[in-house]
Amino acid sequence: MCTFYNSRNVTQEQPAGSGLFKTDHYDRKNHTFGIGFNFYL
Amino acid sequence: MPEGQITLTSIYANPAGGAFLSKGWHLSLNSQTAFQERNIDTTFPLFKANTNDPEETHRFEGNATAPIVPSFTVSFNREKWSLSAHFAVTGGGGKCEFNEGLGSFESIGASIPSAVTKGIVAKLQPILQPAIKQQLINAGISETDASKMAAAKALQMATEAGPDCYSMRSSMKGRSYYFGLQLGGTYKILDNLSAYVGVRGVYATCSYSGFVGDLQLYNSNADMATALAPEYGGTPYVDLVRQSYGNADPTITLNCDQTGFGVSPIIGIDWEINKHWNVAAKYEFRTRMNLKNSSQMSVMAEMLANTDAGKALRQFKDGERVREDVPALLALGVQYSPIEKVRLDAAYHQFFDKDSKKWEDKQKYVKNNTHEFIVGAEYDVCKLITVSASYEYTRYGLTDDFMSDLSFNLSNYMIGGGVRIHPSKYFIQH
Repeated sequence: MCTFYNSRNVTQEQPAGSGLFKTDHYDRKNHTFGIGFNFYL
Repeated sequence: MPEGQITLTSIYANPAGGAFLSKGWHLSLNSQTAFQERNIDTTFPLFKANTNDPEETHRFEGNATAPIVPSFTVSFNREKWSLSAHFAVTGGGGKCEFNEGLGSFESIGASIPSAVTKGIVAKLQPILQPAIKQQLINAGISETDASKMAAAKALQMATEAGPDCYSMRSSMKGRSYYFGLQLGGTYKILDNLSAYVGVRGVYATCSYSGFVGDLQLYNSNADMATALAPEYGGTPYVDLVRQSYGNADPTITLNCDQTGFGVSPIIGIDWEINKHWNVAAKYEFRTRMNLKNSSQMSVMAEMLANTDAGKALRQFKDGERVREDVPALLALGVQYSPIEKVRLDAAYHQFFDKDSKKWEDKQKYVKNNTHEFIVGAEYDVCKLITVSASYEYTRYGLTDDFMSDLSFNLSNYMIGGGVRIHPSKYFIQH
């Protein structure tokens, strides 16, 4: 499975009340592989 | 996984459908391997003062790996009823490392030069101002003007004596596993209608370690700082930081282990309308999780945890109980099989995040519950091989206030493909 994430910008005052703003641009990538075995007894 | 399916591996998604498996014992062993990158570009005006990377935007790269995420399912079926057990890592499932730390950590360090400068100004300005004023009066400037000019000049000189750049090292590692064991029974109310009642116990174990250290503060105009150093005792800047925190070592270290246990009931229903259509529904109740911290923090980390600047550290304090519920889930699924070789699936999930309690009631920053939409198809190429493909769209309803670089989620879509081989079906029948 391949997961395709949206990216996102988040701006927050840091620390609160300081008048300084921090902007985080978030990005993720994901790949998942699986294997399985089924048994009927 | 689509809820409309009736297979052993779909018992997690559609437990009521397990009643329609053949009589006897069924066992399924599975493992997943996941690789994830979590990259965060943080822009903060004070990062420009970092001597190692004098830019306002810094990139923090995180790598998460989960080489083995096992799960198993066992089901014992009779004519009318079946019992099943399912074990899986239902949340977390790996460890993530940010070798350069996180923006929220560095922003603490980046704010220190201005805080130190503020302290130096408070001490130096009253010392410098009278001397400057006297010099201006001696130069023939009126006392009123000399007072104003001396105040401004003293402020400028004191400010220039403070540190205006820094360097530091930081790192962050996190690991999280939610182990879930689900036990339940399914009963055939009618030949084509079954109901499931079960319970899942979840044991959570997480650990976090963080480091912010080797803090150095510099003045880019070293001559000015050196000239004024005797006025504030000639103390190195980092020692001024120590003094302002009761001579504490300014290194921030954190090691926190969290554990917790929760239980939730699960109910499900499956209706095999005819040989073409099957529909199913499942509801998992909210799992109340109260994680307890066992932590070791440096003195500076503990001090900062009580301030706005270090609020990210507060949730790791020793003995703190961190609420981290697993949200309730409503899952609906339908499968349509137009011909024997083809099965088409569609499913819908809603995770009730708005009602899932989080640390410091963070759930109030969830605007909408999480919705997932899934479609998939399976095709029996021959008796030996089945191929499948699926598409899933996940939409989170998180506000900006919910997001942090310690924990964030992004809406996404997922494409999956699979191959199933049936050796026993093939070789026994040949």
